[in-house]
Amino acid sequence: MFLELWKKECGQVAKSLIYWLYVIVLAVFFVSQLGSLKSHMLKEPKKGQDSYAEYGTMQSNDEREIMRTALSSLAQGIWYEDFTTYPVGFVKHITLSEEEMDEIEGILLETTGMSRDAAGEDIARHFQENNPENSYVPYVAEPKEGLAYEDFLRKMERVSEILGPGSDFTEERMKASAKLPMDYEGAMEAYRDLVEKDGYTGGYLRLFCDYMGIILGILPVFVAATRILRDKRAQMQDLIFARKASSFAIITSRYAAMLCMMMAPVMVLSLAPVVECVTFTKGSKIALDYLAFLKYDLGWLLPTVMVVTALGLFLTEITESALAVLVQGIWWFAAISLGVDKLHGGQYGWNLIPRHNTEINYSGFANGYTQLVYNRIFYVILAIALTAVTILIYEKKRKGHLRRRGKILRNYKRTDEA
Amino acid sequence: MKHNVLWQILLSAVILLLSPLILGLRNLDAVQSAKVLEMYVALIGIILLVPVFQPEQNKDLRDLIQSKYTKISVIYSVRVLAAICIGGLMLLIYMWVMKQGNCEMETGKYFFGVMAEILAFGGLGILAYSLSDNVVIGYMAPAVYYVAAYGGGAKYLKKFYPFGMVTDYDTKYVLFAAGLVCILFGIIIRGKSRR
Repeated sequence: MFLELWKKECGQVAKSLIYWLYVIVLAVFFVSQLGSLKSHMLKEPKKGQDSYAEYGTMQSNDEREIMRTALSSLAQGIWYEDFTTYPVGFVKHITLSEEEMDEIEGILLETTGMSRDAAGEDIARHFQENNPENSYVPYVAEPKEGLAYEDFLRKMERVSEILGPGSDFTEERMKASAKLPMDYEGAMEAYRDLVEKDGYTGGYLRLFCDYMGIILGILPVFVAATRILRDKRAQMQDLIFARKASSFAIITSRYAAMLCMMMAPVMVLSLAPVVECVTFTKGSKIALDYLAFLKYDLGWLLPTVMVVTALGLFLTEITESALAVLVQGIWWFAAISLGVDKLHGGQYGWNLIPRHNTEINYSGFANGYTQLVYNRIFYVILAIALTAVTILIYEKKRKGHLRRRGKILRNYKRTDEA
Repeated sequence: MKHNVLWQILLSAVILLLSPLILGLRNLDAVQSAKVLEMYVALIGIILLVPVFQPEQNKDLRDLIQSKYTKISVIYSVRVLAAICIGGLMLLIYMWVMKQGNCEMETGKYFFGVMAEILAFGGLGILAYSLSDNVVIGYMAPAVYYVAAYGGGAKYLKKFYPFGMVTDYDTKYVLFAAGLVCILFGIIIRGKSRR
């Protein structure tokens, strides 16, 4: 029964206009964003090269450097009374209460030995000596003698709490601010990671997932919502409700069919980076990971498609309107905005659209791998839960509930009246 | 209006009212102000304008209205105009709040720029809706346009790039014209539709 329904549903999806729009948009997005990767595929770096920028940047692990950079920006924030954060990619100027400002000034005193006024004088002296109109020399505040790094981190954590989400004083943001240009050794290490640990293709498939995740964070909801609304418009609901097939079989076959049909073009497109890697490395001794596309498509992108589709099914079934599209639009906007400062990868968090906008940074990927796995499992579970609730709603509707004028909020029918 | 655009107005208002939680509306320079207005506020164009044909989605109801003296395209036009006015009013209030927060902007220039974008987003949705007879495709078209602009940027969209307030203001005139044309064709096509 399930297989028959699944085949029918696949046919339904394949016959719909929205599905082919989905395929076209996916393909155009892929071509415009990734296009041909060959022109920027990485070769082994050579000693004495002009720049190693294509291999990324190096993170400074110099604790003193990290402290100097952060304390300089803290001192300037206090003196100019201007703290900015980026909670979702948009700048936000923070206004502090008097108590909060006092507390932050106290932290500056403990970490640099400077009061607010002393910091102001120090900043003024610096810019008198180094006129920014000639050439910009950034102001640097020196940490207080004997300031332990752990103590510094604790105090900056407090500053972050006061300023709110997206502040520059979290450990990761402070480290990110203290970046150094890549040197030969660092470039070699990044290349070796790509070749030896990523099987070369892995890095490019992560980049593929990064881009395709953006569009797959919203596109499936259109297909899902249209599928449900079509039954309503064609007034097919009663006909289907009367069939022998269980609600479980109808919804799960529909869901599975949509997932298969929507993942099929994704998997076809993901072969392109693999083919490009094969042709680019032809003649070299690099051991390519030919099946990496399966791992990335199913492990990284499928959970996104699953949860977006499930939300589409659930909200459309419950409201019989296009509300799911708007809700998913808002979720997509939030997910993209939250990922804006995490493009380099490794900081996946719980974002629906994990970002890793580079073929390198394997070490970041390895460090964030466990979190990424938790993230993906969470969305798979959420998708299953939403599908289960959709089945329950569908079952209720079949029994005559929740259907008065098609709106769940207007359900006055009691169970014993059904 | 009460029956047809109330929830769209409420949703747009909620989205705008919630914005101070995630983005700053104080002391923004001209570039930052443009970013907030173009990339966030203009999205209300999709919410307010796209569903204008929704009340007559049912074919029988549409046939009934088409049999009346008032032309259905006039009803659609009134509804679109109302949605544009409400969008404009919301934008004005939002810009006033930003001004109170000492945000830098040229009021007239920014207002027209964002209105042009609202018309472009909404117009594209209206046209897609009328061509496909499917409100979901109506939402999909401007959403994909937004995503394309966000990802590909000005490189591919050129004069149709929606976020060019600071970089290329000419895009706003193109968007304004394109938005009006899309709305016009959308209403004509829907008005004649027998589906």
